[in-house]
Amino acid sequence: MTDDREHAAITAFAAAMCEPDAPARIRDDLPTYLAEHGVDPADREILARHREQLLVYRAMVHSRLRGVIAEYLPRTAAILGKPRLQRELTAFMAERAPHSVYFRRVPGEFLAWAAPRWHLDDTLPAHLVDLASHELLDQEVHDSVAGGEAASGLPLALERPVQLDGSVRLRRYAFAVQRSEDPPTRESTAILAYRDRESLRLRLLELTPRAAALCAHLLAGAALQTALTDTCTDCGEVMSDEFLAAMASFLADLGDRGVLLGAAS
Amino acid sequence: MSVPSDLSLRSAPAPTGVGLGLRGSFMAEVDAGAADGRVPFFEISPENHMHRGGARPARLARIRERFPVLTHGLSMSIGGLEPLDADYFATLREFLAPFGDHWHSDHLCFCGVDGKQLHDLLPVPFTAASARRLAARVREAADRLARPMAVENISYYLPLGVPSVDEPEFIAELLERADCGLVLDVNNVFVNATNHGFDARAWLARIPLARVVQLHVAGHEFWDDVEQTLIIDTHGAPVRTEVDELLAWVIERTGPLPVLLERDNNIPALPELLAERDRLQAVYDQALARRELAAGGQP
Repeated sequence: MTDDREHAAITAFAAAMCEPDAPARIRDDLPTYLAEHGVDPADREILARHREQLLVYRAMVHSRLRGVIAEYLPRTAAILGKPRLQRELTAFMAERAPHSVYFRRVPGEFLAWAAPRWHLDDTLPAHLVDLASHELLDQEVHDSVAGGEAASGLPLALERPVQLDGSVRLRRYAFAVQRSEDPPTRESTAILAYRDRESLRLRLLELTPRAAALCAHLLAGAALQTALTDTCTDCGEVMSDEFLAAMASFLADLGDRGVLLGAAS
Repeated sequence: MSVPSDLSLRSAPAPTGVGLGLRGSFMAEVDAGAADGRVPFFEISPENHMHRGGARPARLARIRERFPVLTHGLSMSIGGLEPLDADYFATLREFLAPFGDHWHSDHLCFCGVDGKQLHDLLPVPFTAASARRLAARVREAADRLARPMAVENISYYLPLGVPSVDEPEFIAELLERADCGLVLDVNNVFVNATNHGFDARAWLARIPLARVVQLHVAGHEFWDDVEQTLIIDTHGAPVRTEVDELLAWVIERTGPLPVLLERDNNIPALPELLAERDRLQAVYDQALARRELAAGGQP
């Protein structure tokens, strides 16, 4: 076999794993399918004798990918059901397919592809993307390489940004998917997620709108004064004593949790 | 057939006996001491640990202090058509640094094309041209990782085109050209022998055993329990006695090696897995005793 033949055989094999109509075409007329993918006639002949095995490979690849998606997004997968999840996976494989070498990242790649489609699909629950994003948040925070950093030792200062633990994530949902209600309530929700420094477990905080706005600005690297001012603007509030007291209390709580580590160095 | 110089120089002292693949489902137990004194080494797949924070890095570091750890990758795509992934190799090289000078291994397969990762071990053509191409990639991998490479024979369920050489010849050619080691998976040999109708021992007899740096054993299952025409290397069942026999056959000829029990699906509780390891260790020890006897020594 020449290098060109090897190239064609490998490429055709991979296409058989990804193309949505491949199973039907493999069953109907494998030699023609392979010919269309440039496979050498002699190689087509031997591959055509292993049609069932080629289909087994495809089933194994898809089953493994479907399995890791269901493992990381269990509630999402249960809502979709196996047939629909397989259809989604088939479309994902055709249009995008995983690109990361890390198997555990397949669910995130899948969701990034699926979310815009699911938002537009009236046959799916409106909360599905929020739910899937929330399920994936667990993995994202758990696996975050950042987190547990030493505190800068600098006191908070209005003119400086703050140092937050590297595992912190802010998520906004249209549904309260973090609660156990099924189906979840339609309720604009903001969640601060972080990895506890001692137990290394995921912790979640439901935030008020102004706490969420403040976190968003601080995570974006704004100085504390700017973050407070912009939070007021976002929330249509004035910087009253009540507002400042509430934000000070919130920041103190984050400090107690090991989420807020002081001023950025 | 000479033993590759890099391997003999840089990998000593390699662990021997039957070790376990370290899996997330029982990593905390191992960290807590549940396998102390029971396992001569663990093997990890770096891809399951790279770019990962949380409890895992410290847990792995503690385990590494108590056990030798060998590394066996999943995503190198030695048979792939695209250039080796520079980012992946840079991260892998950094990850492997604390693990000593042992070889790093991966599979004789491709994992995807055009940037798509199919996350499975997919077959490569058995041709002289393919052996040359893959050997060059193995050499490049060893250079990039700055450590010896070893490659593993996979289970394959179809021939990817007309073979110009058979699998033993393909592997021997590749090993020689790449000057690398072989992680000989005897369960894969059994699976392939059963599915493709060849004699597993005759196959093994044609493999350059001096290149074998490690063995893998695992369980397999029928694709279809009713038809039972195809067995799949699922790593989801106990090791069968036929595979024990192949393990013993090799150890009688090579002497002490690290042997890995792989379990990736239907993973039992750690005590059950350790019991299977013990059973395989007895198979291994008996094979070594027979080797001693055959050499005229005391068992």
